[in-house]
Amino acid sequence: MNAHRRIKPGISDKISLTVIAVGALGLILVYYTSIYYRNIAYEHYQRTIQILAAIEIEEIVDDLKSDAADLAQTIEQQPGLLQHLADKNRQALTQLLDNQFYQYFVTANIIDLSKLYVFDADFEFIAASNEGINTGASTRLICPAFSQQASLRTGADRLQLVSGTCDHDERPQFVLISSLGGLKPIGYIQIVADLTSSLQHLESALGMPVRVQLQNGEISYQSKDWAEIPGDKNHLPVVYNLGTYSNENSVKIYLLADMTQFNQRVISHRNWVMALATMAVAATVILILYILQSSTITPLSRIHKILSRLSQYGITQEKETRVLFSQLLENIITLQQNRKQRFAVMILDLVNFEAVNQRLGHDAGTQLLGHVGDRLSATLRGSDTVSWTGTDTPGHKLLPVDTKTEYRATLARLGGDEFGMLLPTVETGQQAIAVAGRIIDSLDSEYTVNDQQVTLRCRLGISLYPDHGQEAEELIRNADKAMFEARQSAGKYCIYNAKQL
Amino acid sequence: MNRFMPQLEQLVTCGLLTFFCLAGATAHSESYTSPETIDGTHKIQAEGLIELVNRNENQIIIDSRIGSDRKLGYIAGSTSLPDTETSCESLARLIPEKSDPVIFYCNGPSCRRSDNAVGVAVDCGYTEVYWFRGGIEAWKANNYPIQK
Repeated sequence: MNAHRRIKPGISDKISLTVIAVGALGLILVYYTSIYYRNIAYEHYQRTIQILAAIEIEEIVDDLKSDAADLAQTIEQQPGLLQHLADKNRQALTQLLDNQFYQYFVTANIIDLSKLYVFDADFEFIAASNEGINTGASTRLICPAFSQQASLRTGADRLQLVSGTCDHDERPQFVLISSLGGLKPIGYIQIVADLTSSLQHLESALGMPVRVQLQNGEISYQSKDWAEIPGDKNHLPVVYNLGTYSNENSVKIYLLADMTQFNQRVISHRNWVMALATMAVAATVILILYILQSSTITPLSRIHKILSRLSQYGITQEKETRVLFSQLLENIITLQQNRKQRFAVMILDLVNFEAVNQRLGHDAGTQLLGHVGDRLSATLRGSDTVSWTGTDTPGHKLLPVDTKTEYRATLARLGGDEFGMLLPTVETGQQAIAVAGRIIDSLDSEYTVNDQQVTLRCRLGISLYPDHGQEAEELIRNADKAMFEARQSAGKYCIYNAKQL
Repeated sequence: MNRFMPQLEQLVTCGLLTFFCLAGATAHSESYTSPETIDGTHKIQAEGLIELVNRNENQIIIDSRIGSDRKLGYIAGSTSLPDTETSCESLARLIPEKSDPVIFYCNGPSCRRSDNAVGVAVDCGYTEVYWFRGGIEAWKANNYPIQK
């Protein structure tokens, strides 16, 4: 028998495994969710840094504008400038521009100048500084679009400062045009400054390493602590595209945001959540096992024990079996309390057994009881009403796998000629009557004991749980009463009826 | 408990006083706004000022601010005459005729110096008083150059 036993996990193992699997799934979910949200956070962070960079660049350009306006004013106030302008004295103007270029850029390094130009009131070119970018012919302007647009203005607008950025020879330049000669301008000055050198201020303004790359690939500036490592999650690269008037993608500004602290926070939060989830899973497993143990497994294992003991005792040892039968009922009631399943209890009385016993002797009586037991077992086994102990019922699955339930076990000898039967799936009186009929039919035919023909007369009393009793003893008692009623009314069976009895 | 009451009272009184002082100061400094118009004057914008300068050969522009404000930048061609020093006598030194056009400005609508100055000028009998209410604030906002 044992050789055929298969090792299968019990219900508690299955449930625990399920909970642990769900828990593990939860942990994986937490892990990947944290990665997902970190990526979303990174995207937001990148956008935020881009916005910050845009704001800082605007400020850098504003500072350039302010410095350039100061220079324009200084040049305007140079002695002789207005006279040279009126005379269109190119030589003198060039010298004056070179002088200021030198003082502002080379000596004081206030502004990274590229070129200075002077125009007359109609924006006709007069002079340019020799200092600065070599543009070939001096009349070849850097960013001519600004002076062209400025020349189209009329009235008071001609006084307004014009400023902006544009590309010259693939380098971004800042341009400012200011009037010369007070509120009645007699000329204009165009200041051109290199924008890229100002962009390195982003490093201190944003507090992160910066790398400025021109469109031709030239790296015009790179922070000393620039260290971009592919796959490094602690340093988030951010790219900001700086466009100018003439080129939308003039400069690529790379920034490296330090995400170490952010990552530490995310990871520590994630680990806390995962630890809590693990504890929750463990607690759930323990709780489920406890509930199973107290509500199902314990009564079931008791039932199993009782059933096996009943099968050991057989039907001859009435004293023990009566107690066991009662205990069996009690445990089944405990198990059924939360379900709405009903069942039937039957008490069978062999009316003339005592007489047969006396007539044929004690041994023959025992033999006869054996036959009765066999017939009852065969009837109950053949009947689907006892399939509760079969393999396809939920109750049985909860029992250990090697539980072998004998149908005979639901039959117990309660007294000299009295048998108790538990029919767990008999739920209605009609079903009970049908089963009772079959039992009586099977017992009615003749028995052969010691080569003698014997006939037994029997009476059945039926009680139904929970209609006829909530407790084991009450059910047995009421089935007993019904059996007595059957005997009184000369019927073969009777269902307990409180009103009648 | 009673022991602490006087101290508490003092604290509360002190706190309330500080609060009212601060609130008062803030209210005073932020609440002033120049009137939209002043009788006897022509209100002008930045463009109007430039137009007047271009139209009139010797257009007089008076900067009614104090020196420290003027140092931060002024309109080219303007003369400094703080409102506190503005009187019929000081105006007469700058403006030859009562019918000469004269422009007054200060920091902007929240600065009352040009309001005061145009008031004095009107009272002194000047007939062509132009009030640039927006002042240096509007001038800068319109991208016009300032001198320092």
